[in-house]
Amino acid sequence: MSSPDELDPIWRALANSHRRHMLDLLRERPRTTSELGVEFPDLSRYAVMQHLAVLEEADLVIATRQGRERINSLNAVPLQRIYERWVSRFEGAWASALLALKREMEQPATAASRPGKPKPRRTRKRTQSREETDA
Amino acid sequence: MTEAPAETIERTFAIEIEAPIDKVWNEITKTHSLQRAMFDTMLEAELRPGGRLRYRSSNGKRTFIFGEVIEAVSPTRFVHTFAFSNLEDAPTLVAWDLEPTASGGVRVTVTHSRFIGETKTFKSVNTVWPQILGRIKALAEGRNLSVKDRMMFRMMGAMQFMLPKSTLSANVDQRASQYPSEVNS
Repeated sequence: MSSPDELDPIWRALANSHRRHMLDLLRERPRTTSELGVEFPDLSRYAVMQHLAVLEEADLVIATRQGRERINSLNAVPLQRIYERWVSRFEGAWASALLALKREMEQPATAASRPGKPKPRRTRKRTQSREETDA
Repeated sequence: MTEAPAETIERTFAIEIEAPIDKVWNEITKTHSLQRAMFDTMLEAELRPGGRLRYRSSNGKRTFIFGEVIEAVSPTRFVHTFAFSNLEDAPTLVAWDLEPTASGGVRVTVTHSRFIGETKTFKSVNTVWPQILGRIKALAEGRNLSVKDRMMFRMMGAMQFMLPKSTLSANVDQRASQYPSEVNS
């Protein structure tokens, strides 16, 4: 199980709309730092680099050098770990809620507790008549 | 080595694992027991340049991924070509790099390249590599896989008969033989 501390830098990195937009852009394809800068006219080159550093710290971005350019690529692995830690738990809860509902629905229905549900009752009648024929 | 077509794309996936590098290398390259991170397949591979590589079902009847080993340097680098048997896409290239970290663990980086645009193979591996790396981490750090993963693998095993004929091992081996070796022997 991943410790909360391990995921902290990821949450921190995702808590900023500029950085989330950067991840969206990098999901399309890897980009150089200057290419990213063009997409953020309101940010200085220094600010872009600072944001990239936070993303790199969280391992959401992997930087490689190509000549004088820095190429930034998305690393989707930490996002999957967040998914596993949070979302899949809710899925588990959903699954058990559905199973509980299924059990509930499959219990023999009584006319008093289920007034507007003809289906289960019909099944019951059929079972009864089969029992009668068998006997 | 054949020249890669000009317009290809690549993606990188990386994870840090708190386990000895040899243990992680073994998890990735082992051929004698199920690769639980890789959807419970058996890896059949000769770990030398030019060696053949197959990820097969545990009973050997189906082959899901085929390729050729390009480089195998224990315990740091494993490079092989990669194609899905059920897709028509041309083989791509997978490079596994393992580097020791300061904390005594290992950083695993998978660089998957030579996609000719956003092919079916590209779309599929983009979502699957993060899951595979997460599983390698869990196994190497001594944890079990999630119930969800284990259920999924069991169901996939049970539904093998529904897979297309192109995944039958004999058909895969025949298709693989049509691609020239990239390694000069």
